[in-house]
Amino acid sequence: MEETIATKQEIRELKHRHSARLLSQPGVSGVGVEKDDKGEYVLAVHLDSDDSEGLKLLPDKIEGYSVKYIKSGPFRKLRANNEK
Amino acid sequence: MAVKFLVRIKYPDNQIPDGDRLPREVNGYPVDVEQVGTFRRFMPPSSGAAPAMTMPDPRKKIRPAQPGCSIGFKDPNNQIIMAGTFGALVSKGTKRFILSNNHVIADENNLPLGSSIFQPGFLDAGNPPNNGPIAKLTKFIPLVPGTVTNKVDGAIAELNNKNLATNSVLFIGPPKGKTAGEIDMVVHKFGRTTGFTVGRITSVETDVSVQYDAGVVNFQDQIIIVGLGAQPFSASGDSGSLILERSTNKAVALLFAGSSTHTIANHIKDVLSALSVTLTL
Repeated sequence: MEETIATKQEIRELKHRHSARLLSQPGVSGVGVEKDDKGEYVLAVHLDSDDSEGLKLLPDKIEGYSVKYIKSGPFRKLRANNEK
Repeated sequence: MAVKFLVRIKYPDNQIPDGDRLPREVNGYPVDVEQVGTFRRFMPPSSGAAPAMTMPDPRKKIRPAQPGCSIGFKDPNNQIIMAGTFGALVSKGTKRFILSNNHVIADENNLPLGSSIFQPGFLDAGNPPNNGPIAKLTKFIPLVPGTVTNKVDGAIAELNNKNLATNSVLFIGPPKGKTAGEIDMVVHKFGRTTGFTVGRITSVETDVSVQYDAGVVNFQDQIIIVGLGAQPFSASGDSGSLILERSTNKAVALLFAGSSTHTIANHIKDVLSALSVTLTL
């Protein structure tokens, strides 16, 4: 089946519908609107690592839209600290 | 004979975390470290060209303090020695404030209003500390862990004296207004740890979960940046840095979180509006 090109607004709405559920899964640190290598809008899911347990549960597509998985987390505040 | 490392900024030994220090010798040869700044291609001289700038050291005591330099609080419990980055000079009426993150100058909602903010932060001040108070914590946007959605990690501290800080970001100069971030926009910043870096925005609407001392805090519609040239855009200590569009020097975002590969920042419009201040231009 030929893939249709998603608009930014479609991916934005897809994110709104699925962001909270995806972020509650272990190993998922971010869900956003990004572009893929071809410059098309996709749902991007940021992962703590690429061997996250949760990754096994994550689908290649959501509502028929492609999902781009990125190993980027975990995300932390960026303060420099030395505990005494 | 020695092995020579050329570094952008040479820091005193006691300011470098144990794991980050260069070796004292390589294959039996002693090591020498020289500060050389950032290498750039040579430009043909033109009329009115500005002289080459050396990279400033953001961890030093700087007066007047400039955005990009190290700042922080004094932990009332004497447990944490920390540093973050002074992001921008902001105004409300005739009052002038330093802008940074809640977790940099309000310790995640924990610091009482009126607490002193120091430049540099105590992590950079040496022992005995060579720093001093420049402002007092005035307002922070509470960080709320759990399922609540947050928009910004921001706080302001009013200058003790208007001459104690300027609006000119180290190495970059004053912001020329503000603009909305966009995917593929090239941006730059100057921060306390990684200094001057350049990156590209990959998203302006990403929901993220960020680990804080108080737990996981969720943020909605954040900006994601990756460094150019396979260099990280930020590291621990850069929190609070102002991120500007590289081609215009318009402010885009306030850096507050990230990983070794990705940087996360609040939209500057959201930060300024939540704190009811404007950039001092």
